[in-house]
This record gives sequence, C-alpha cells and structure tokens, in this order.
Amino acid sequence: MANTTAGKIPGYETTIITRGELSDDSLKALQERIKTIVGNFGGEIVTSEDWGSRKLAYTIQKESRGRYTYAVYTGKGDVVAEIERNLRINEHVLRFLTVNLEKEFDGAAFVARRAELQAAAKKRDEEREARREERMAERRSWSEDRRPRGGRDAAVEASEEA
Amino acid sequence: MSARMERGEGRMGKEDRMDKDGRDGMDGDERGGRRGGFGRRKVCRFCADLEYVMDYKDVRMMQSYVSEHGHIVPRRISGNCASHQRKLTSAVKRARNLALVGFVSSGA
Repeated sequence: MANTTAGKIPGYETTIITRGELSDDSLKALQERIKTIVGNFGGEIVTSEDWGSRKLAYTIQKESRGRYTYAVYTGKGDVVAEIERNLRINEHVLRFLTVNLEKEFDGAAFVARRAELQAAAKKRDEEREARREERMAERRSWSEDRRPRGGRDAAVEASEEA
Repeated sequence: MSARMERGEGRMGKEDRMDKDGRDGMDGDERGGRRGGFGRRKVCRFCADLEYVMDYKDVRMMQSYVSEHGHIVPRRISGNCASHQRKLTSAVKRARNLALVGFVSSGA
C-alpha cells in the first residue's frame, strides 16, 4: 500500500530540540506521538535520528544544552500543522524546524542519497584529518632555527632525504 | 579577451590623467595591477564537488561559511556562485534557528 501512494505523497523533515536533561522515556513518548499522528494522516516515518545532546549556540529558555531529534516523514494534508501543534503543547520542546522536502517524495531514494552524502562528508573529514596530521608531522620534522623560506619545496626535499 | 584588455588600458589611461590631478592615483594603480594577474581564481565549491551538498544540518559546513562574528561570508570571499550563495544564506538562517550556528558569534 505504501508503495502505491509513495510517488504522490509529500515529504517533510522536522528537527526538534528538547531540553538536555529530558529522560529517554518522555522522548520516546514524544516520538510515539509523532508516529501516530503521521499514521493518522496516511504517511509513514522514513527515518528518525537522535543526534544526542549538543551544546546550543545560544541559550534557549535558559537552557544551554539541547537534545536533537530529527525525523523525515510523509503525510497528506495538515500533518505538519498537527505535529507542530503537539510540539507547542509539549513544554520540554525548546524549538523545532520543519522543512518541506518534496511534493512527490520518494523515501527510499531519500535514504539512499542521505547515506551517500554522509559517506562523502565522512570521507572529507578523514581527508582533512590526514592533511592536518601530515602538516603537523612536517612541522615537527623541522628544527626551529633552520626553517627554510620556501616551505613546501624544502619539505619535499627533506622527505626525499629521509 | 582582447576587448577586455583594451578596456583595461583605457581605464589605466584615465587613471594616469587622474594622477596628474593628484587624486586617487594609488588606489587605481593598485587595483589595475591586481586585475592584471595576482590572486587565484576562486571556484564555487558546491559546483566543483557534487558530493558537497548544502545542508543546514551539517554544522561543520555551516561554520566554514560563517565568520567568527557570525556573519555569513560574502561571495567575493567564499567564491560561491550566485545560486549556491542564495541557498547558503537560507541554510545558514535555518541553522541559526536550530541553534547550530550563532546569530552573533559562532558558538563553538
């Protein structure tokens, strides 16, 4: 059934910030609630992620830490309005942001694309880390007083000698 | 290319004349020199690498386009193309709403 409607149903993503010290149980209750709402509007939850507790860039309602939950879901009509209404009622929710993804949402494609992009981002991070270590090693290998002016060329020469 | 060169020369001539008047000579000369070849041409990172996709959820990416005071880095510095810069501004604003990036100082 989900497959037949998947082509025409719109997709949304919502990120919710809850209070940092919120217990797992109440977070789970919130997630269950969202799940039932999405079900009521003929959609399904595509992915749901817990980013854990993060430091907020600025304090919200005097909280400096927040727990992030991220969910991608589909649904017809006023799903977003209903979910946001519920989030506003919940006093543990500090903030939320919903983004309209696509009018004709394909959940499987979204998951695949996201995994791909995350892998690429991870690879970038690793490369950056590797470059940094290389630089640090380079710096360590030079003694302070005979640091040559043409940095890179001299380093290459040094590594060839070694 | 040649048309641009000619125009450049034309401008230089004008600046020379301005020099005699004793106004703005240095500024114009400096700029003319830089147009001539200094500086490396920047390429939009988002166009160059298709795996590098704008995402307001990616904190590290957002921070690399936000100055230490929380300003969005302008296009002339970041080198983004116009369409990606537009997307970037909306992404940064989303990230700000989610407290991933600060409004005033990048809260690292």
